[in-house]
Amino acid sequence: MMEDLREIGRAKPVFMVGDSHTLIFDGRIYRLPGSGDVLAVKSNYIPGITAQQVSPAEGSISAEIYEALRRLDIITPSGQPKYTLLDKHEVLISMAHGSAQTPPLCVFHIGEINVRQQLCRSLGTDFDIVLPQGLSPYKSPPAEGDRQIIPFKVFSQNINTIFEGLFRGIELIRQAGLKRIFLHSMPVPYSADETFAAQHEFALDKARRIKVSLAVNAILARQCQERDIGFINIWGHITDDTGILQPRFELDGFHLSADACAVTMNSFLDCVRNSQAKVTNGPRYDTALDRAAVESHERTEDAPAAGYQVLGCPGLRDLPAKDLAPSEDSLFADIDWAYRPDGVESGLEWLSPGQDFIDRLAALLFADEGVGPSLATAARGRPVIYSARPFRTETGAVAFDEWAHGAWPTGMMRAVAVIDAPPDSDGLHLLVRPHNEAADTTSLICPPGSLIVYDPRQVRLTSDGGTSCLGIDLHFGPAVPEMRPKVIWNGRNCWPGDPFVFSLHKAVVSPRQSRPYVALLAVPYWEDRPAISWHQTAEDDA
Amino acid sequence: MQSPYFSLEPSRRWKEAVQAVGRDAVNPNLPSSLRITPETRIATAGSCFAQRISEAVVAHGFNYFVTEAGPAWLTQQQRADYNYGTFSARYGNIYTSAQLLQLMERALGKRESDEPLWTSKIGLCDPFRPRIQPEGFDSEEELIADRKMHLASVRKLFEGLDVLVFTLGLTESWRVRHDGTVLPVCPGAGAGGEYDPSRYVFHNASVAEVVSELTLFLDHLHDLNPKATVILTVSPVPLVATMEERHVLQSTTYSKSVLRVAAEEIVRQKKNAVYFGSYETITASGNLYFEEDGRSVKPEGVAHVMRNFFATFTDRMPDVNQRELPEATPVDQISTSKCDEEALAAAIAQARMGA
Repeated sequence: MMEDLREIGRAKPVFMVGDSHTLIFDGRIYRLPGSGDVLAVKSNYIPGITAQQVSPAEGSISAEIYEALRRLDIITPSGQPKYTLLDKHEVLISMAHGSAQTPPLCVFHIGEINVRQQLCRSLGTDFDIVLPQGLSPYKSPPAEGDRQIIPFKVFSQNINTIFEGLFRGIELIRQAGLKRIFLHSMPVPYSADETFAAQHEFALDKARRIKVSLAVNAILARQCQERDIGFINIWGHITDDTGILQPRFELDGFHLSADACAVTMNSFLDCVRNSQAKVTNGPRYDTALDRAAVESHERTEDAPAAGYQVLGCPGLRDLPAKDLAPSEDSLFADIDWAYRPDGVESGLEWLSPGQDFIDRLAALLFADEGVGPSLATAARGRPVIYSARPFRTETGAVAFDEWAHGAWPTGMMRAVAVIDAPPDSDGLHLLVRPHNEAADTTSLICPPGSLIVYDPRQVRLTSDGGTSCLGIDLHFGPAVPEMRPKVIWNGRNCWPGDPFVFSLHKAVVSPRQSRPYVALLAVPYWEDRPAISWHQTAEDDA
Repeated sequence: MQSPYFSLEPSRRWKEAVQAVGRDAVNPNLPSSLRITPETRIATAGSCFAQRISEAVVAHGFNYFVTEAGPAWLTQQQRADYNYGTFSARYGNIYTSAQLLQLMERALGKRESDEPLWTSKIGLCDPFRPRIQPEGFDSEEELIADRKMHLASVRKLFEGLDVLVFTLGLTESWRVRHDGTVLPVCPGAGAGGEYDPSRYVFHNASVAEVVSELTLFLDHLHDLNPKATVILTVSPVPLVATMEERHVLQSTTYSKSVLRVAAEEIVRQKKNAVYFGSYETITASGNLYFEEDGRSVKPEGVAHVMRNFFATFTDRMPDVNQRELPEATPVDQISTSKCDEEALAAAIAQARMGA
């Protein structure tokens, strides 16, 4: 008799598009330590794909790329990306699916052919480059023999020209809604010089091939940073201190091994976690706001001119602060977080609350008396606290985040609650800084028991030094009709949870291991999304 | 007995050689025994005027000898910006005989300098050729490596050329006080470096110094390349400024006089040197060939000089643009064959099956 199948969960797909270096990834499955999430890689190999071919002309994507995205089922036949949840139809699909639909994680592994056939060939037997300081983690081999040196700026110009089509294509794909695109670094060249010469119509020693790849990677990394594209570079993990590939990462003399794939996936996760992609869940909050039954849900355009309001909430001082524990980095572990601050919150120590703390905070803030009614007015009726992050301020200035005015959806409000301060302190010193830089900055001294509610589309708060204080960073949002007022702890992530996730049956909040868990996903917000168009080839015309 | 002046050739008499010819047709050079053919490897060096000569050599289809040409795929803009082919090697302008001798000695490894690399608003630059790259060098390592290969290219140039056209430009120069290193420009004058009077000193060469430097250079060249001949010319371009405490016109006259006399002394002494009168061609024209600034030479003037050059040293008047430079294929347009990729894909498929 057959054994009953046992479900082990749903894998999160990672899509990969590119040259033959994608083949080794196809079908590989990885389990994340901590959350236990499973990632499954689906790759689509496009023979001979080069960087220029991704977008051979302004405004178009190549037919090969379009077909690859189609085969991976991440765009529709009409070129519209899936998984972006922008209308009610998609919301219904999302609910039926049991989780929020998400822009897929998509990795491009393209350009290695250009490196070999164009850039390596351009050095030939007579030329060499010298890598600028800091570009290589290795000691750059000296120029050998009597080779002329190609100015690195000239070489860089060539790299930029060659990869122009790739970046143009990625930008078009992102404009169409597939926001989470990543680029893989050029692989480490390791074939023997004789092998390389036999496979190509020219010879180039390994030292120069490594230099070329390092140069390309450095330039791609910079381009990706400028464009908010995650760049996956694994060189530091798979080479020795001279840039030579460690044997266990070799496969067939050319491609990297399955061990290297695992390294790539780890680097990829780091990349996702550190992504500063300018994406938000805006449409979901806006949709939630539209659907919310509470009459007091006003648009923030009606907010007070000051953009903030200070309320008294003495009960904050009675919250069980002793239950707050230092928060761990692993709480960033979920790959679907859209945003993690990077260095802008120095001087803030994030703390983990216990469930009792969360429950008592909810009882305090949503009570029918005390601060409850005032808060409902100040926060314009947002009945869900999507993110409650306890913190302790240390020395130095602290920005609670650096999101620009336009990045906040209209459905959100924020607050800082002050719980405790040393006996000799007058409280948390804050600066209220309007996004309009011409407007005046306001200094606030907030003793324990203060609740500063503010509209993040108008102002942002920065700590103004002072002594160490204990507080909570709060994000208020609207609820869809299925939701009741609640407080959610989203780990250390500053971007609040997803209203649809919490309205779904069996939905959980973060972190999954021991606490509620949320999958927070990025979707385009304020842009019109064109369908992806693709390049018409001669064959198509025929 | 009749005065010898009565039997002078017409070219030696002003009336026939200049007055009767017209300013745009004067050729102050007598036919030379040095013959340049399309195969002759011609190199150029010198002041700014030397660049005009090299352009004309290329345009007229002669064999412009370049040993630091850069890769074939450079675009024309890159080639121009980075001075590939502007000079026979990327040494930049060589204004003085001292600079030329120093270049030869550095290429031979007979001379070194402790002059530090210069920084300027464009970046890191080589004090011996501060404007050779439009945005300087990316790193000290790149500059040092490039300099090493540049000097190797210079040596190849001297070893392989048939004719070097050297245009003498200036007598005034700046030198490093403690070791006499000659600099192409004054430090801190816009091309990089920092002016420090305790380190740098102004020098204005005498006839004897120029003769001595050119003699040494020619001796080195002869040792390297016995068949090589140097065509000396004097740039007709006046000084842009003088460090001497006198009028710039007087300094210009001094400088050009010294250079002209030194050239004369050299060709009288050395078999591997001839003189070509580009200075005379331009100055005999009055203001015909000078732009309004009184310094810059008009293209017509350069064309006249080069007509004379070819008339003097070649057996035919070549057509302009006779030789068209082959169009290089930019790197991004180099074909990327799919064949190897498909073969490699098959290899990985096979490897995966075995994994």
